Amino acid sequence: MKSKPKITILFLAIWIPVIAFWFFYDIYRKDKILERLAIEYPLIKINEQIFGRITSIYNLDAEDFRINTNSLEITLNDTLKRRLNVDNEIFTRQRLHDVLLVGDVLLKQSDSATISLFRIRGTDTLEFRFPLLNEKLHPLKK
Amino acid sequence: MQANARNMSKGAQVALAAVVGGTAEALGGGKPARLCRNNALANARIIRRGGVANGAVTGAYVMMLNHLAHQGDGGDEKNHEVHASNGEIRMKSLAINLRYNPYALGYGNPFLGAEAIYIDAGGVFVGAEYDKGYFFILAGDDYGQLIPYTEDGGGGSPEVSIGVELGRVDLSDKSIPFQTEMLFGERNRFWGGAAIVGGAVSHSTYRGVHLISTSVNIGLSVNPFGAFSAGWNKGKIEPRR
Repeated sequence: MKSKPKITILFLAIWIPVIAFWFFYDIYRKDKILERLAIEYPLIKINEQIFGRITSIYNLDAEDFRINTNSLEITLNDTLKRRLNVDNEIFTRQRLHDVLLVGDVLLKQSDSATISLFRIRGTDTLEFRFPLLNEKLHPLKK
Repeated sequence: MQANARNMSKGAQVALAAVVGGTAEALGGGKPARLCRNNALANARIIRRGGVANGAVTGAYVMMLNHLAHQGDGGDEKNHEVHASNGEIRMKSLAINLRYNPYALGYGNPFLGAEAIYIDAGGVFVGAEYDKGYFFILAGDDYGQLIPYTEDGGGGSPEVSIGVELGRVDLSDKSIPFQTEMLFGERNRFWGGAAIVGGAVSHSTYRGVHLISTSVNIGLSVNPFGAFSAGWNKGKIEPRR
């Protein structure tokens, strides 16, 4: 192809800043969404005692983030908002995304690093236990 | 560690000997170890070139290979449920070598410290992209595994091209443990090239940690603006079944 230096320089001078702006704006936009979520849905603390029915689950994956199958934002009893960062289920190794449903009951004892999810099915009650993780995805400690 | 050596498979014993020999030798000044001459895990011996200055790297390498040896097919069956084949052990050794050994490729290692590396082939048509490739996992629970994937995206670029891409994946915060699922989902990609070579950077966010993929590309490109080209697209990486 015959070289066209002026057109090439013009193309690069206009096009690359546009691309770079869009690229970095997307990073900024996502960081802002996560900052907002961190305030709205604080991570469960080790000394918290929580008991309630899950009334809604926030779907972050719909906003162009990589799917994290062990982290979810939930609302308990339509009032208490919390983020769950957990490891796989202790006994079955299932992931939180595959287990958690609206209507489940969540229990966390004070000073415990585990949450229990209870689901009532007819006369049976299923229990799932997940070890809690901190912000850096390491086991939650005192 | 060495006391358990007789319970290990041949492959694991060779790997263990190579690492122990390499470490001792590195401390002693860097003489080739005889144990490694016929080592099927050819990459394991290269660590010795690091010498004393790479003590921390060597220590991590020994620790991970020790863990690997315990997963070997000749381990104590009562205590170890995981049994890896020789092929799996080779792949795991290669993963450890690429991640921790600064001289893994003889002259250096562009994948040092990466969470995963990837290779794919595909094309771009005016910003729309489709690729098929493989991740080779270097960290996390799945290290040593090859995972096929597809990548597609749409965006803006003046070019039509086909090519092959080789790259590495890094986390912005190394204190967060890498998980394979971090590799899949939405991503933003920004690339540039001149003639038949180019480079690309992809970014994605996984709950507060950023994943950055950097790659080099080789291929053929047609572009109305001359030899230089650049583009951006937004797309998704999905595991291939």
